[in-house]
Amino acid sequence: MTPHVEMQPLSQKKRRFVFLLSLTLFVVAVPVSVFYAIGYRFDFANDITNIKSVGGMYVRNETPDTEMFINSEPVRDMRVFQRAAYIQNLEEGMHRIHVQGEGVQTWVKELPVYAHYVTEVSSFNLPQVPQIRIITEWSDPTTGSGVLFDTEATSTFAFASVTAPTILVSSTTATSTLVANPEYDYVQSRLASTTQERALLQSLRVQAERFMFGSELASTTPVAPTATTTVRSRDFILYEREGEVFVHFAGPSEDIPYYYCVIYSGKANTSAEYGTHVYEQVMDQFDIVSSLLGSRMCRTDIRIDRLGQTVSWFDFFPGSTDIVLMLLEDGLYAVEVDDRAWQNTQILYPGEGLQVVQDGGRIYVQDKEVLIEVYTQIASQ
Amino acid sequence: MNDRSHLLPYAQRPDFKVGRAPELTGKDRRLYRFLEILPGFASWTTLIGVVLMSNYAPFAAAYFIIGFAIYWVLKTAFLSYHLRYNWKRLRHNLKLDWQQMIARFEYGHVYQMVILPFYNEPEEIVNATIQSLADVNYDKKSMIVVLASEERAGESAQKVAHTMKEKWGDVFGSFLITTHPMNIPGEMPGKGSNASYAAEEARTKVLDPHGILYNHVLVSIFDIDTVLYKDYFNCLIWHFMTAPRPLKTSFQPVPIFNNNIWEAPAIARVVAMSSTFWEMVQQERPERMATFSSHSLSFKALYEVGYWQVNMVNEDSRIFWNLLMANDGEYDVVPLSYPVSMDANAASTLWGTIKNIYLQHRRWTYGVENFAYIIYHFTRNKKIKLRKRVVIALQQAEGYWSLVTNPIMLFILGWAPIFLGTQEFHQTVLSYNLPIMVRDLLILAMFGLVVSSVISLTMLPPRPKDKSRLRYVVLAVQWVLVPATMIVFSAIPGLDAQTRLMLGRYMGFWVTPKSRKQKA
Repeated sequence: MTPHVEMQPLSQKKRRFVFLLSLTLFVVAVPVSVFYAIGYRFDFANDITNIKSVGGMYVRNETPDTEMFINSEPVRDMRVFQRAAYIQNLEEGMHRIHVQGEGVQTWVKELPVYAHYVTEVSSFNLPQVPQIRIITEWSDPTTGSGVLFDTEATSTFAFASVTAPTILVSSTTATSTLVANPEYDYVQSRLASTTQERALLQSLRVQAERFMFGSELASTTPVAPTATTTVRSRDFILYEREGEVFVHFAGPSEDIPYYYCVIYSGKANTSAEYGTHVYEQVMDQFDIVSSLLGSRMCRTDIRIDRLGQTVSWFDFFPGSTDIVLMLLEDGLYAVEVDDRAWQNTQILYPGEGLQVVQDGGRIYVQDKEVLIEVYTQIASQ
Repeated sequence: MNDRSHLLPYAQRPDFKVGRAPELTGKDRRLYRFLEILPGFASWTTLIGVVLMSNYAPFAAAYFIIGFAIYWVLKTAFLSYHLRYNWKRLRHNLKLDWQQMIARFEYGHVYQMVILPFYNEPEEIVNATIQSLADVNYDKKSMIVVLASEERAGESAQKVAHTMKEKWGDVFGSFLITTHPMNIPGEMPGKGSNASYAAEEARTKVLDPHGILYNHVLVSIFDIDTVLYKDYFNCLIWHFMTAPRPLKTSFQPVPIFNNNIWEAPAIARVVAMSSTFWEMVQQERPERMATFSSHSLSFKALYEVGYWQVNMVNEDSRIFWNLLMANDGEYDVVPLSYPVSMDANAASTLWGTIKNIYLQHRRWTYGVENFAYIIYHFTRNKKIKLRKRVVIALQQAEGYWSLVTNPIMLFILGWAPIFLGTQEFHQTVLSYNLPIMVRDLLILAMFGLVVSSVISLTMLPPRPKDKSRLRYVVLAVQWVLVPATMIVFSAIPGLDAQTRLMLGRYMGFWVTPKSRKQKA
């Protein structure tokens, strides 16, 4: 039906009402939102205090298919792309976070959370079963598979998961039908140069020990890293001194990673929250950075836990300055630099008498006569 | 036109039609130049200020951003409310029997002058527009069609004009072809100078010889791609007859850029529909309206201000400000809530479309040149009520400022404290909550896009047979492009235009290329 009356424009009265409603909502919503964003929450359960302050925890986790727990409760809002979780609404106090997954080692940390603040932490989960690829000297030109002679295969790597196809042949098999693997030669050359460096390092260490009168624990007092060998990645210097391995942060103070710093709240509290070793280190070499919440104390050097063993090689974990690779007496380990509470240590490849080299983000290990590449994730991932 | 006695007293001022600061001298020039600088300066100060604040005062920046995001959500809801209402009114008006509505009025003495400025647009576009004029439900013999060509467009444009006159000349009461000479001193080549020349030609060649009174003529100026709905002139007459002061009023239809909407790429459709929606929102806020694109007004009003300005880019909106100043603030815009169809800006290639939309919107947003004009004349014409001057000045300032800064602040700088803030800030719950809250508020604001999406579907012309029904899904989903189009085709060209004005690099008129695919 055709209407015959013009529809009136929106009336001033209605427009004013909508405007005033919007204005009222704005006036109410802005302070409420700001207070929420700062970390205030209404506590409906508590009759006495109806507003409480909360903090949070931000956990980075690069390992796929893992689950995160806070105080044994699963964390559900893990971000899909960044592989991190921002856990909100945590009350002030100590909170235990652990990250676990099928086939990977579990990472656990207990850290303090302060009201209005977020405690940052990074987790890592290496495979329980070493993930390796054997690099053979020869390969079969027809199948493309690497060829492993049975004399080399004294270790059958039953403890590991081997990815690339490898043919096991008799040591008497002629190599004339096989083709040489250039990767093998390359890795061998890299290992050889590393071995020379290591020999030099060892001789210098022996010379240094002649002049030592005791075996007291190495001090963590920051000194210019004049150790016999260092590895540098951006502003991070990994060095060895007196048998201990340290990570020194050499960048500007405003860029110092969170785990170099603690919120100082007295000896007892700081020791309880972060560990006595952290308290001693920050008191030894602290650099106070201003903070809204008391004094934020930072150090520049963190000692890496070597499990009481001798370190024969170290480097940063591929693509990370938060984790250190260390070749100890019984295997190749990854140790997190973050020593608040404790340093998580996970084995990457077990074995004695290993030789290791890292090249282009790949980790190569010589286990007896066999060269292998060790993966940091489960192969299917 | 050298005789200025027909102009309203204020319009006789030598600075009445100032286009840019260099046309003035002394203090006037300095004031005008300052006003030209002000919008760009304010926008840049805001954007740089947010960056600096994010770096040096991240907590304050974060509070500001949260407040701003809430403001955006509420503004979206507020505008969506107006949009939805105008959509209902538009549909209602399309259903009205306007002939019956105006039957009670005596309007036989009113002539409809239609000015169609064109440059080198193809014949089929000009023809479609005149065809739609011929198809309207109105007495064609009371219509004066002025096809306003440009000398600088060359022979081909003349040929198109004469072909049109040959084809349509007998349909209308009068069909006048005008040829705007090129290189007239003091003129900027563009629609304004062409239309003004055409209006004066029509006065001397049609109105005066036939003794037609100027207050009996309603002038409608349409872009050459404008296709009229059948009752446009009936609707116009109704509003003219019912307006409180019809001779002191401009009448603004809703430009719907949908002539070629089925052929245009998604980005062109979203931008075109967004422009339509903005005009629809403004239709419900007439106090904020200025004329835009196609519009109508009395010839008398036009004559009293010496027609459209010839020395600036956005003559379509400037004519309203001319009229407001000349009439000492006693001039209105009446929204018709009745559509006219125009072309979405679409070139033959996607890149060409993007480029053309950018240039078109830079020209539109160069309407910021009106800000200097408005404020300058507000300081000169004290007969305009102070309250009106203050309200309009604030509305205009907010409009030009928000056009440029809001999308950039919301979609880009909203995250600045997270990247630029101090480490102290980065450790706080606020730092972590800021992106989450801004994201959630933007998602909430996106519900406004749902309203837009639904309304846009109802405003589509019939689906061509060669277009799949699935296209409707694309047309509904395309609105997710809005955050990007707001930045690329609104904020950045706006900032570009304001910066040019601020630096005194004045823009010229850029003619939007028009073309349509031939229907099989």
